[in-house]
Amino acid sequence: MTSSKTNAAVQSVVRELLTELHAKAGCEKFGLTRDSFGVILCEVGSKHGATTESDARTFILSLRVDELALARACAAGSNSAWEVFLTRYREKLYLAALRIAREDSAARELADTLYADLYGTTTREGQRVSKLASYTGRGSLEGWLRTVLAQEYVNRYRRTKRLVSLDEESEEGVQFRAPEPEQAASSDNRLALATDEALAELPAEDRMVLSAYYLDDRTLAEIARMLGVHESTISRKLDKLAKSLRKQIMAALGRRGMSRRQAEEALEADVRDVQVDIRRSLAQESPRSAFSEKRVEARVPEGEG
Amino acid sequence: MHNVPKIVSERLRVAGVKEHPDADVLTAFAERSLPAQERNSVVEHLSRCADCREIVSLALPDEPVREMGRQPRSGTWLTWPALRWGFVAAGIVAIASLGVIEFKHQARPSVALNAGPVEEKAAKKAENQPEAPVAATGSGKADVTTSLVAPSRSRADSAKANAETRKEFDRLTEFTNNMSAPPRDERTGVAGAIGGSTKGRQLAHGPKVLMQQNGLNSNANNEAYAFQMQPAAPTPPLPSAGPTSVDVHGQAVALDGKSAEAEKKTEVVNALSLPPSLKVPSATGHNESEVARAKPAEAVAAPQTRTEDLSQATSPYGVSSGELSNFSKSAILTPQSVRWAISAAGTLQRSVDQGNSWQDVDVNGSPDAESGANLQLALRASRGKAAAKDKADVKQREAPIVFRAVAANGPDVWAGGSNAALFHSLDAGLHWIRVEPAGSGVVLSGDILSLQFADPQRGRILTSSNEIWTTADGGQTWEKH
Repeated sequence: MTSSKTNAAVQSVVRELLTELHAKAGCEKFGLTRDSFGVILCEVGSKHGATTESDARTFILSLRVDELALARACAAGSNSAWEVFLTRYREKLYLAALRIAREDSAARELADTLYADLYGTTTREGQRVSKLASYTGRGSLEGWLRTVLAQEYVNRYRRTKRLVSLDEESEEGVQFRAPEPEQAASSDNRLALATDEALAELPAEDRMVLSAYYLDDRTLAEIARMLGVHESTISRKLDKLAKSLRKQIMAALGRRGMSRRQAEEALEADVRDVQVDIRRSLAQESPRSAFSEKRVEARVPEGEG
Repeated sequence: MHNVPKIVSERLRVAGVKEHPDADVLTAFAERSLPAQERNSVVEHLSRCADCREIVSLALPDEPVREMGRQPRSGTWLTWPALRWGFVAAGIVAIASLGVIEFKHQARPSVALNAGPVEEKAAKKAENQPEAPVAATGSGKADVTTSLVAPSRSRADSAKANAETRKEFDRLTEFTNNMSAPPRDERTGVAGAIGGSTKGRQLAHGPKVLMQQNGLNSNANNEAYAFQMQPAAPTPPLPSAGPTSVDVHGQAVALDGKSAEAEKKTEVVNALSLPPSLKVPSATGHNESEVARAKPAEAVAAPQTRTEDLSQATSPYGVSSGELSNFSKSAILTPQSVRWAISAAGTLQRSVDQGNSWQDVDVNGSPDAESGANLQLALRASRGKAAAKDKADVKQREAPIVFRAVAANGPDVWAGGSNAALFHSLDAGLHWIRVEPAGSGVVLSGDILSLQFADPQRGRILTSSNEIWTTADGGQTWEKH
């Protein structure tokens, strides 16, 4: 929601910087006038929501205006812009799609679909709607293309599988919170609560690393790249977390009235823990199937119990 | 080692996260250009949303270039395993290179002269290495190798050395990634460490790159020179020269096994930099076809009994025996994925490092014997183009070309621009042939505005004079529409 304060701040900054940015972005090449570029910058700035002039200025200056100009000119239908875009990005787009989809025909389809979206379609009112209009220049255009491809891919190819597991999960979710067969009715609540407490105390990055490692089954290398740190950093972090989490949960359980022995039992007792670990060490071919298998695995004792 | 109670995994799962950050923000996050506060909120979301984690992970570029850029070099340098191997390798190489130099002095004078270009290419490689943004220990190793192996220089050949450098860079980056991966990563195999980009790729160069890299790896690791990875079957038509064979032979004899790494590097240089018409006598007698083809060096091939490691070393580099036989050299040189672009000024540009750096490509090339030889072969392969080339050559040397379009299918590249300038390369831009589409008495005129090649055979050109030309045979014949 853009407040009038935001608009005012943004507009004044844009007015001030427009000439410089317009030239820097090479808008002339694509037939993008100063005014239209100014409008674009205002729109992007407002969407961001900086309320003070200095924030707005920092933001506007951090944009990649040349790529923004190219993208918006393409979205507006400029042929010269589109030509440049194709020359620069067509190959990269396909290569990125290939890397994401890993298989030639799926990659081509993915890339082609995105092309259609990027090129845009004309609505009945004669307005051109192109996905490139949503690029705001905060990240590189190439990176944006990759992200959009990944989004498309996740939505399309993962959605079916994911829907299943999400459904299962929401079903399961209810059941999990119910008394677990191996434990006494009262203790599992405390265990869950204690765990929640311990997790909530962690910074978001730690939780993200834990989720990526234990839920998504990602490798240390992948997680490190996502966060832009070295792999060994992630490894150390996980080590530390594994130890400290246990301690924190035990402490929290203690605060909830469990004796040390009871707490230890509560943590160790879960038979499924063992099975899960064994599955992990038996290199599964796809993390997803391991994920859903766990679900099925979990369900069976429930049914029996 | 990394085990948390299952209850943790359960409680980490959060259902139904809405409000996903949009593509721009995720991109900025991945590229580390978000301000701290925004970054924190994105991380918070990512800790709860598996979909967005997936997207961020998928959208990451192939190589962890950012990681290397961000981390001070000391980060990766000080990784003990890497450093350890670095020392070991450097030690071996030092001894090896001393032996090489030693032997050089004793070898025949003609050998020394001919060895010159080979080594100075290696030296050029060393020179260029520091420029490549490699933070890996592997690069240090390579530096030591090549700088020690090349005592003197006579000719500059930077273009080829650059390509080798980049190749080296790609390989070494992957090498480092492999080295630093803890056991868990091996579950996903090498693919995990190098972004899953080589496995499953349909591009011709992927598996070969992998093999080469692993070949180097195992050598460094084991300090042994018997490769486990080499495919004995494909006998590649490896390039070399008569003099080089002597050189190689000389090296092999002098250094009893210790210099395999140095040999390999030189061999790589040999393989990479010499025209395919000249062959390396790398056969030890095991590979009969290899020996048969190495006619000029046959006499020398016999005494090379101790070059098993050499033949093993060279075979990964010449895997493209069947395909692109005239261009084996370039097929070797082409890194996994070459990107093409036209700069704002209309120059043709190429990137071999996933778009991080771009080099201008001169379609006229450097006129020397080697490219001439290659061109000869190219022309033999496409008669139609030969006539056009001769005619066009004269014309196009006069005005600088402003490129407007480029289309590539792997190493098969077409570039077009002002004044009907149309160039075709079969080796990712090392050598170019000027093509002049002509059909039914008309010649293509005007500026070339767009090039579309769905595959190397079928292409379509659009010109500024509204002509549309198509080809269905990779540019040998054209039809105007």
